[in-house]
Amino acid sequence: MPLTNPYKPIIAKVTRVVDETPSIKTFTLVPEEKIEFKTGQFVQFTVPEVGEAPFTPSSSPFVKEEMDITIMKAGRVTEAIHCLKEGDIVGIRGPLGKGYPLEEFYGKEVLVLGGGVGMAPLRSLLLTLIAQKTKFKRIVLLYGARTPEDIVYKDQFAAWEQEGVKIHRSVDKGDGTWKERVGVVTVLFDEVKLDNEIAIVCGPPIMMKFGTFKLLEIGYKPENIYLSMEKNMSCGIGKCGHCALGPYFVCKDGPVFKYSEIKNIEDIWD
Amino acid sequence: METKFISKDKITGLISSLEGEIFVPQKRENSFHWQKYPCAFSLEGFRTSLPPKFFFYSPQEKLIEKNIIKRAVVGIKACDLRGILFLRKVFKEGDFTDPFFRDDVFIISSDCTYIHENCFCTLLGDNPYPEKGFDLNLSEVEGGFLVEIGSRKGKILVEKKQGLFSPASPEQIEESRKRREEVKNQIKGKKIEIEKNIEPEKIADEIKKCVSCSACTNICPSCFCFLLDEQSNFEKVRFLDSCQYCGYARVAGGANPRKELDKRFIYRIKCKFEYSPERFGLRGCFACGRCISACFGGINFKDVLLKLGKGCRMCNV
Repeated sequence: MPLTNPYKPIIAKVTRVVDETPSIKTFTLVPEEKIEFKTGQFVQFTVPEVGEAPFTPSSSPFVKEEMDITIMKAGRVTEAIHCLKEGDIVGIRGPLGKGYPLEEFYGKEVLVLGGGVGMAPLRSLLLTLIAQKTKFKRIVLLYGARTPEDIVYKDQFAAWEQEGVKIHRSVDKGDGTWKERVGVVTVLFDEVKLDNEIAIVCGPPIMMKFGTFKLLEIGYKPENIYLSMEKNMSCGIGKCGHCALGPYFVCKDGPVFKYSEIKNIEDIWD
Repeated sequence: METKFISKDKITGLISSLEGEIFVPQKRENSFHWQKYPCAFSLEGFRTSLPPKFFFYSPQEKLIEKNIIKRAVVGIKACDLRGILFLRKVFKEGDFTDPFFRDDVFIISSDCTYIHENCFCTLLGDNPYPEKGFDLNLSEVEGGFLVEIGSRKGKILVEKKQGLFSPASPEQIEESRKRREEVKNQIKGKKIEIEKNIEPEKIADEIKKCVSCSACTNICPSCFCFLLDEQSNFEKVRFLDSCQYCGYARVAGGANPRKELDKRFIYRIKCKFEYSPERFGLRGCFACGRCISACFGGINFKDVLLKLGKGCRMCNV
């Protein structure tokens, strides 16, 4: 019978759990077999007897022995994941889907536009871009969260800035200590002069929608805007049908799409 | 390849020579039902009430390695053969192959000899007789069947059992051609050509009758959607799922692109006539009409397609 069973995960051990915000944690997993992935590809995180949910690793693809996955508590599976402790055994299926086409970004200014926990795949991307930063004209990160407390990777922005990433941040609602911008993430476009070359967007649907509209308004071309689409990915291998986005299956044709590929499909932001 | 003839009295000899478990259509009143052979069987008429897709994968199974026994299915009609070819594309092609979809089943198909009232394959440009996807095909003629060989496996069986067959005469081949034309002409109606941009208002009355029960997708010979359930020890069970259920496309956090009934109804039609040709190079409806028979709301999907107008390039894929 089967030589390879694509439904069978690789066993992995939880080795570290970091509380990012009250509802977001980052889990470090050490798989029994090395999992090589391209930044932007995703994996299915398996919790025995509970289920699976898809996440894009937030760690650098150059680190092969372990993998970070940042997860917001949002449903049945993620609630179970949030109960995991160091030493627990879980599963990883993947890598699945297609990654960011980094070669298409060479020589260009790369704008990374993130919102909330949408920063997870973007962290992996940023670490990948930083590792070969001379290949890009400039790396700019615009990041928004609801409140200062909701910002993920709080202690890591300074290190990225030191690597030359131009960073601007905003929160919808500030507090006494917040000294950066207040407002939705698109307010940050006033702060930076952009060359309108490559933009990569990941965040909640409403932020993706208005972020994309803003990018188009200021002159980005639809084929240069890369969106991480969130759909109900179950099998992850293009067989079960759940993640259909028009003619595409997000799991195998995405999860990253150029806006130009999907702009005529109904309800892409829902 | 040379066409053979097998007389009616030798057909059980052919079926009995198949290995493993064998399934055949049995006639009950005016419908046909799959039965495990040996039993009374009938190769006449039209497609079975249930599609043969679950001889190729299971509607509910544990996705772990297991021993399988050989299997043969006899009497599959043309629409269902197209359905199996479609499912084979879904499960077997692409970057990942599904090891639990069987492509080792021996298939003896047969021509339709008369049609069901809901059949409409010719209105989509298909024929009520098999053209590819079989190991052997049987076309009824006076006194027996013409046997067409469609694969290496089929050729090997015919060679092994050569005593059962004789060469087909030109008269028998002509008779088969005429019979096929006659059955084709039994299906009356306007050719169905769906517009790419579906206008839901044209079928608003039909959509209202839908109760999202999933009977249409479960009984469809080409619907393949499934759901995974995680068991202990990292083993999964696969269940049938349906795009007609409200929760089908819902994501964590509650967003749902097809919360409304009309969006799900239209999605199914677009999946079959617009998206499947793009995804798999094949239309996803083979006009067996089972969804019409199965619908609790009494929706006639053939009429739905006719109402959706003409000018669709996908219909000829």
